[in-house]
Amino acid sequence: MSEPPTEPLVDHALGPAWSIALVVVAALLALAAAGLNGVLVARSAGRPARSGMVSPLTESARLLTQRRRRTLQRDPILQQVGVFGLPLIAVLMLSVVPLGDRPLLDLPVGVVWFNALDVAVWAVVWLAGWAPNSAFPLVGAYRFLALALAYELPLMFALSTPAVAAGSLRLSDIVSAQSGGWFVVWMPLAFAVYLVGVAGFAVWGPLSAPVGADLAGGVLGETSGPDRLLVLGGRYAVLVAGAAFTVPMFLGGGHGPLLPAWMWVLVKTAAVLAGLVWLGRRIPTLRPDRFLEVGWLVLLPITLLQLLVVAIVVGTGGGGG
Amino acid sequence: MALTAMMRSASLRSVHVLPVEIPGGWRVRVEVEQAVRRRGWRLASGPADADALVICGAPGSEWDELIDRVWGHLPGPRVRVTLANPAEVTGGLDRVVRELGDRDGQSVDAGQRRPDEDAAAFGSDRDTRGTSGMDMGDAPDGHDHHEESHHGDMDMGGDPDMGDIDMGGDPDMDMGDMDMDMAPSGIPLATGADDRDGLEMDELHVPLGPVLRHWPAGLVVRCVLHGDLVTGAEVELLPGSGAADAVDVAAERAAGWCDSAASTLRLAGAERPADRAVRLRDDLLDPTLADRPETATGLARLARDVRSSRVLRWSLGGLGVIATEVPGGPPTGDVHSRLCAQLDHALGALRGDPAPALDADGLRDALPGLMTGIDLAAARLMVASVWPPAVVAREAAGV
Repeated sequence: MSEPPTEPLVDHALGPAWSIALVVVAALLALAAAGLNGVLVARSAGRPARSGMVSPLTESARLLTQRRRRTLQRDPILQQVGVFGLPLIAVLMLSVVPLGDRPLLDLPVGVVWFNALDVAVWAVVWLAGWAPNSAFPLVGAYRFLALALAYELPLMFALSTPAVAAGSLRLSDIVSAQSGGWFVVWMPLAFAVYLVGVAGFAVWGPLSAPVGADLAGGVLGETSGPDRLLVLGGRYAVLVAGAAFTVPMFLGGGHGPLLPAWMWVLVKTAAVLAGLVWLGRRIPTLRPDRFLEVGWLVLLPITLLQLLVVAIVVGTGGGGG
Repeated sequence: MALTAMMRSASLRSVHVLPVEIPGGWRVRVEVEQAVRRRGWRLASGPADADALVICGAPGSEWDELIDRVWGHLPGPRVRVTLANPAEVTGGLDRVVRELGDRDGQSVDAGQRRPDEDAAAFGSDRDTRGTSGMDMGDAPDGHDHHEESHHGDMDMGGDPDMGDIDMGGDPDMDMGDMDMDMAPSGIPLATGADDRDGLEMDELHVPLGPVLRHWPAGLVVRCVLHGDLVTGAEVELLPGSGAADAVDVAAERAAGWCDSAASTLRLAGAERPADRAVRLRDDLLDPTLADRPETATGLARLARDVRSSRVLRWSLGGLGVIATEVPGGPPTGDVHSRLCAQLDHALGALRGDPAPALDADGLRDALPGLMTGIDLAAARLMVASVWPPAVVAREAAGV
């Protein structure tokens, strides 16, 4: 009962009734991200841009009418964990993000909640690659673990930096701490490393080696039909969740002129999401062994340095906290 | 019902095509890729991602069983067509749409598939040249010579070359009597389960090719994998019986090199430069565009960008180094320098430079040594960066 009585959990949260709206908005954002990616892919390949824009819809229709592939000696139960894991994790991540001024769940440990969920992605992607009992997906799963070893620790320190500045792990407290200025301004390195982490747990762009072309689709290599739709859609959903989480953490939450708070959250999320999609197309996929060097020799030291700077500023009484 | 019909027609707008290039079918495959792009379709990453299996070229009887197996891996609704020459592409792809949209035909096909067809195709797949889907299950069908080599005494272990060529420099790579405490090339074994012979490792027998994207036509490399480390490789070339169209223009040779560079770039995960290389390839093959100065300058610009790309140099530099030069053999340097060389060869071909000397047999014999001791990603980049384009190889062979 360390909670102050003036701030009961229920009053500060939107409550479960809003979860349907949350899922719908998240799905629409995921569709938009997939559409943007489709346009970028189509333009680069010289296909009609329209075919790229509608690709999320045509692909969904295609995968819904396609049959599932069943491989020999697969593990059907764990495969389903791999299939349903990503969309589920995305929704759980989004449930602590303040939409406007209040989140769905106003957890006192919102940052830790998010971190635990992004670690759960390890299990999900690994199982998606391991369960079909096939070599290429398995190699893809190994690759994911290698990348995760490189991005996870820097991601954890990047996540803890705003929490240190705000003196709280609760997302709404972190938002209020930014009323004087966005955290991204004085912790840009943590923000950048956090985005690398998002690319990592969404198996996106430079960190998409686990689903690489050299493995004929890697983790996705034996997945078809509705299963594939859930995994692909789940990737976009996790990307949306990762983008949305930057808003309370680094971009001042719902703070902004003119527009209502919920609109600002949406606009900022969409902007970060578009940036992630666009950047993901521009940077080549990195070899996991090379990225391990980056993770441990570059990302980890700079996040620690960032954390140190923020801790000193907060400790000496400056900053937002 | 209306919803089902709507979904069906929507799904026909992005058909995923898996092209299978038979030796001699290069132009057909390129033609198919162009048509796929014009129609707003996609190229499938593997059989599980494909709606249509498009055989490009004229396969001989040795391909029958192989193609049937890959066919069994398509989830369905599915269509297969064989296109022997470029003129058949438009009609063939129209047939794909017709048959994919044919509900009754597809239900008949689905009904005829045994429930375990995938599994059955899969179980016998281990010893074949397979597809992207290689199972690790243990379904015994041991009649194939390769099956006998499943565990312990590798037939390659008896090959005197194998232990010596390996790039890791470990003198004891001979798989026949691998000590179980040993870490090949200093990398610990990925899996440590007891094998049937009591060897504390799992050896995965994974065939690469010939039905594999970004992979030379007709090439089959049967790899032995520990985790994703290639510890053994055996090379076979499947023939094609298609009459190869004569190479008469320099532009086609240049296009061939562009295609090879595109594969290398694709495997390296560099999508945008790969797309540029593919579009240059298509421009070079279009007689109205090939001679335009823009094409040559575009090619030169791509070569310059790839050469100066820091990310590519960092990612591919020092990878798959070939130090010793063999006349006609694999090009020396690392993957990045060979990738640059592929684009330079394209420029050279366009200028009318003579094709580089090639010794196809020597290259085939060198391949197992080049691929052993490196990881799967590096091995694929190795193959893509040393293997000459089909048009150039054919020219060198004097066909």
